[in-house]
Amino acid sequence: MIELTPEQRQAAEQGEPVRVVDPATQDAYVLLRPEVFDRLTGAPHSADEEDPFEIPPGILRSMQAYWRDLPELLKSRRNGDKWVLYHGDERVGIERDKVTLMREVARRGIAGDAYYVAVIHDRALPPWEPEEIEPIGPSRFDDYQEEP
Amino acid sequence: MKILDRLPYSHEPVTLAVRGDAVKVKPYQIVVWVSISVEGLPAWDPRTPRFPAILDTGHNHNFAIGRSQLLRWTGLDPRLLAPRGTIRDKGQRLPLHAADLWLFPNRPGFPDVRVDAEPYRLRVEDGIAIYPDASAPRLPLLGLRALTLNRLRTVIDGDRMQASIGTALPWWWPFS
Repeated sequence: MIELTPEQRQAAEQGEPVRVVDPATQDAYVLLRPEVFDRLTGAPHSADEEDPFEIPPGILRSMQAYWRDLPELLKSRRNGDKWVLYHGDERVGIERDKVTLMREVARRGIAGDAYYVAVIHDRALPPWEPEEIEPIGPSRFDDYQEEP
Repeated sequence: MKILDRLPYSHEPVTLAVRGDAVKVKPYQIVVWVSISVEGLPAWDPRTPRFPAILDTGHNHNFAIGRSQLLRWTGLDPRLLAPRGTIRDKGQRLPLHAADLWLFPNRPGFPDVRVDAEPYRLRVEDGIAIYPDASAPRLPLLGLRALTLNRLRTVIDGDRMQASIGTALPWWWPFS
């Protein structure tokens, strides 16, 4: 049986190819996650193989409406630090506290995957864009390289 | 308003009991007690379980927790928490989920939670990061972004080995 080292396991989880060697035959193999393999071979995606991190379309549309309106919202100092609720393209409301907006979500019967609620403040990236954060865990120092 | 009032931390390891788990806190780690609930609850529900997290100003997002810890310590399945996009940690995509995060006040000068006070609701508009167990932090992390976006004043007193967190004083407050 071929066992993965912690580094190999982490690489595999991140979708990177992992080279493994069969100790009995010394034959080398490359281990890939199924979705990476499918991508490389051009295999069609089935309906139940959705990207687990994909933002539901209703939330994404609401995020895009927020991002579209944000420069305008930031022009008014009265909006500063308040919460805003979007349902698709519609701006439902602006309130000082989130709970009031969530009550409106419940009152309108808006589904959990169809709205976006956020604070009105300057931000560097659109909310749907993945931000690179400071790594957590034992790999934290991997980025460091000795100075030449 | 004070949330954490002279919360002590130690130069020795400490073991805590959390829902049947023995949790080791390492020296010089500041332990805060938090709860997670679904987003936008009208009020605090006292039945919500609390668990420890490390105050980590080096963590530059709101809150990070492993999937199994979330399940075991909060009873919440990540699927109950609405998606809020993703972050990347060394290239690995990780899901963000909408949630309310509650920070418990301590008994002033002591590590134990004040039982006569409700926790403080932290706004975490970009959600909390849920890590797969293999790459999760050993203990959940409360990051600097949550403290900043909630305009909290955090003071670490290295002389007394205590940490305090409070809401910012109003601009008209005459004493600093």
